[in-house]
Amino acid sequence: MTLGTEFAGTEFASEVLPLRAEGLTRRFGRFTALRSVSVSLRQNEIHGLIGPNGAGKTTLLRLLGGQDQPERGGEIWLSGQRVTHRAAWKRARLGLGRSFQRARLFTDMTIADNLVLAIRGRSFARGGNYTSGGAQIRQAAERAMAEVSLAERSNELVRNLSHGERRLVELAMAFAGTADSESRVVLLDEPLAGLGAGETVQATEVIRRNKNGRAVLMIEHDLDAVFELADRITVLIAGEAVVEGTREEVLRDPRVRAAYLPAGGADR
Amino acid sequence: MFLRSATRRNSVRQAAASDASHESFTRLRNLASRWRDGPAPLVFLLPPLLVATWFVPDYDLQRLAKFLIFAILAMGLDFLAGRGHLVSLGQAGFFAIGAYSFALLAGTCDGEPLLSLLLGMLVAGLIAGGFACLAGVPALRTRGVYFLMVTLALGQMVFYALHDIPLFGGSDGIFVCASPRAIEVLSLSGSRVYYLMTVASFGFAVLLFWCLRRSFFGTLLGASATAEVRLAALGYAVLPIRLAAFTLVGAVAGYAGALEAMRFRFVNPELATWHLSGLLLVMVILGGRNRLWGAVLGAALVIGLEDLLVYWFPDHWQIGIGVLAVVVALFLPNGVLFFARRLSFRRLGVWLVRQKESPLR
Repeated sequence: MTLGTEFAGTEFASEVLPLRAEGLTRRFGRFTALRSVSVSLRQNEIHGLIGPNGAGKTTLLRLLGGQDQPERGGEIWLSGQRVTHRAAWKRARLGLGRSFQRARLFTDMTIADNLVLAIRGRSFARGGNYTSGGAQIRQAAERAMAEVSLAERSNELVRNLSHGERRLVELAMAFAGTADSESRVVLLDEPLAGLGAGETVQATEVIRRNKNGRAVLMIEHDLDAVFELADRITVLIAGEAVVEGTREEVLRDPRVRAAYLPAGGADR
Repeated sequence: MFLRSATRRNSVRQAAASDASHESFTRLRNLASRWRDGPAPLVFLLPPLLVATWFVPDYDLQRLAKFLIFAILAMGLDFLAGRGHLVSLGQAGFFAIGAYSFALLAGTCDGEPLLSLLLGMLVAGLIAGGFACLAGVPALRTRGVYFLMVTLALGQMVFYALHDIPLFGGSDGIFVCASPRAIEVLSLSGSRVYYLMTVASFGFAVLLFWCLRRSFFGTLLGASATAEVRLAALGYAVLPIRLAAFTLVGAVAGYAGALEAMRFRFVNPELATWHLSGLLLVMVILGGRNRLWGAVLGAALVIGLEDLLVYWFPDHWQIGIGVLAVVVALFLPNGVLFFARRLSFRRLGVWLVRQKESPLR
């Protein structure tokens, strides 16, 4: 088992991958943030994306999520459909959900309303409209809030929440959906950053529990969590995907050890 | 709808509810606040406005009509700027487009006078809305200060178009060429009819913006202001939401423009100056943004102050508005309405409850 590009090209060519991206490059002026990066996500799998600061992880997520456009030559497929130049909202309607590095929530709404908005947006993917399915959406919102133990505070305004609670709401919004309209591909940008010990456990549990039926791409600096959660890991260094594989394969790679892991930190 | 609970007052209510001693007071205050943010104050506002029709001299009716027209305009701008953070300096352009459309079209329909006037106003609104939709497509690609500048430029384009195209009569403007029977309705003896039309339009505008604020559409517009990227990532197309709001508010401004054209049965390019757009923004800021009645209060303050100040400083009355704006910005950054609410209900209520529970009694 070696690099992800080969899966996309040969072994899984017949199988439709939830998300596949090839040759993504992004330049900002002279600086190349990403250099021909390919990544593919598989069903029921958590894919970790690690790398030192400035390696281009968030840039990659922005390209995949539609918040930014890759240079010519890069391509992105979502469930077999080419979405390279489609707007973010169109990708969301194809079942792509994401969370943001810095929580971007509707701060002047309650937690419940944030989730309702998220779930209603997702229901468009299944032919929902602006008014249909109110009861199911509300139920799904309550389920999602219970999952991050914020059900009792459902009417709290998001602006009154602590950083950790906001991150949990972000997570809940990324995963939430009614039974027939859940996101199938979820991109998480540092879901555990800045969380307390208890909240980290909780968030980890939420991610693990929601892995089934989805393909999850997760950027995370907390290596313990990545190694615990992720089925496969891609290491991004200076805009290039240097290695992709299981925890052991990644740790064995000398470039990863040199560039990323602190001395001795990986010998576990 | 579930989303209707998305208001700041909810949490204030809950925080207060946890304090048992304030519970009865809180219940009263909840009722009051629900009333104040809905169309209920119309119940108190409309009767005096209607009674005024028969007891107030013509000149003052004109002033009242001006207040009502500006209140409609300011409510629209507040929906854009307060709810959607789309601070537009081009509303006067759509106002003038509505006024000129009405002035040019009013004569073409010679039916039942009131009906033809109403039809003219609606068509004026539609035309202004069409222009707003066209202008919104490029303008809404920008944000913040850039949006402000683009809408300012669009407003100025309207001004110069009205000023320089011969059809629109240059700086002299044109008369509203309504049919003789319609003119009769609008003439001095019939100014009450016109005034009543304005009051009714104001009432409808209040109901319209109340519904819009409560609707899912209003929620989406607010959401697009707080976290645009997130809204798009959830599967909502942001541009159509903003464009719909911009078009709708442009149409309302055009309708108000038709009312303004009827006021003196005369239009000129003054209606499209950016000063007017600026004054509308001042109304929204003075009154309190993102509140149904904030813009109305702001319009009342500005128009009322103009009436007072023009008496003493006929040429420099705007200085008074400027001073008021500075004072409000310094001491009441959330607008006069905010102050009025706290003063009238909360402070007084808390004070009363404290008196009752005072250990000295």
